[in-house]
Amino acid sequence: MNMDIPPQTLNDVYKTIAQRHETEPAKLPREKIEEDEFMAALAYNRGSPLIEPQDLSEDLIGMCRQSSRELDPRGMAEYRFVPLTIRGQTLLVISSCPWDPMMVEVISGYFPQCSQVRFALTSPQTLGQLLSQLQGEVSAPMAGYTSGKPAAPTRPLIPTAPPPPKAAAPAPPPAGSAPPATGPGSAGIPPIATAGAPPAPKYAQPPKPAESLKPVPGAPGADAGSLSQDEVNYLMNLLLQEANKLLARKRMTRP
Amino acid sequence: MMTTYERKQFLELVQQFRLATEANREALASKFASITQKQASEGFPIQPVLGFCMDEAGNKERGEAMFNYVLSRCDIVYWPMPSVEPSLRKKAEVKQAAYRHAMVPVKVTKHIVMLCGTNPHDIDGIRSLFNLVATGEQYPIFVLSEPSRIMQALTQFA
Repeated sequence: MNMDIPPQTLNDVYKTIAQRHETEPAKLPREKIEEDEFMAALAYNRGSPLIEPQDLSEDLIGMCRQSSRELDPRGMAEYRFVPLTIRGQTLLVISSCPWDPMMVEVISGYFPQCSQVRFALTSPQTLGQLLSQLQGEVSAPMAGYTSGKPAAPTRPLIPTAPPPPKAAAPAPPPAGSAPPATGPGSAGIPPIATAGAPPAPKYAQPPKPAESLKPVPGAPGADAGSLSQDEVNYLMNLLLQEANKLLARKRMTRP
Repeated sequence: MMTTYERKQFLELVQQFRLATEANREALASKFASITQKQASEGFPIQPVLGFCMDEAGNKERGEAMFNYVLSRCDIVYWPMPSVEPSLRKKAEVKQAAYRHAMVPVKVTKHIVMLCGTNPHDIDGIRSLFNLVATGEQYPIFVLSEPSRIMQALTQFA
C-alpha cells in the first residue's frame, strides 16, 4: 500500500469501503480492493471530483494546458499536481496527493492571487497520463495506491542542485529547460531576463544571466583563467537555486 | 415555489449583494417565483436561484462576484465543464429531475455518481437525481458550476 497517504485518511477510506460492503474495516480484504473503488472512496471522503483516465478529454487537457502554461512541467510532476482552472480567487487543481502540505505551499507560491485552493482527485497513474499528454508524450507507467508497488520517487523537501560541472568542461543548463529548483521559491525570484529578449514565462524558462555580468576585457580577472559565459550562466543558475531554497525554507518555517 | 433552502440562499444573496431593499425584496422573490412557475409549466429548465440573482445584479462583474462569493462560502468544489453523462441524455425522468433542480449528472461509473449544480443547499435535488441515476452503491459527489454552464449542459438532454 502506498505510504504517501496519511494513515488517518487511509483508515477513513477503508471505513467507507467497509460500509459499502456492509462489513467491518478489520474484515475488509484490503489487497482485493480495486484501484477504482479505492479512489472513488477517497474522492467521496474528501468531497472532491474524481478524474479518471476516461475523463482526460480534449477540453480538460486544454484547460490544464492553459492554466499551467507558465509552470515548469518537472515541478508539476515532482509535486504531483496540475492546475485545472481559476474561478475568482479559487484555484482548482488536479492532484494525486492533495493532502501534501508542501504541494499546497508550492501551489500557493505559483498562484499567489488565489486565496483558496480546491482539489480534484486523481490517481498517480492518471496524473502521469495527464502530465504526459500535456507535454505531448507517451505516458510512462506509474504505481497506483493499491498496486503495492512503490509510488513515484519521493522528492526531497528542498530541491537539490545538480552536481557541479567538471572544471575542464563546465556544463551549462540545457537551453529551453527549467531550472532544477522548482517550488515556492520559483515564484519568489523571477528569472533574470536578458535585456532585449522576449519576456520569458515566469516559471518555465531557466534564469538567464544579466548582460552586466559578462567579463569585461582588461578588468581584474578577465584573463585566460576567468569564467566563460557558460560558466557565468551556470553560476547564476546556482545562485538562483540557492536563493529559491532559502525562500522555500522561509516559507516552510513561517508561522 | 421556492424550497426552504432556495429561499435561504435567495435572501442571503439579495442581502449580501444589495439586490433589493428590505421593503421590496419580497417583490423580487415573487418575480423569481413567477418566472420559475412559467418555466415549469412550459417544460423548460428551471432557472437556478443563483442565476436569477446574477441576472439581477445589473452587470456582469457583479454577477461574477456573486458566483465567486457562493463558491468561496462553501466547501463544495467548483467544476468548470459540466456536461450530461452521455448514457443518460435520453432518459426522460432524469431530464425532468435535472430541469427541476438545475443539476446535471456529470459522471456515473461503477463506483461514483458525480452531480453538478448551482445550489449548495439543494439537498432534495441531489437526493432525487442521485436516486434516479445510481445503479448500485455508488458514492455521491456534488460539485458546483455557473448557472449559465448548467443551463447550457441541460440542453444536452434529448
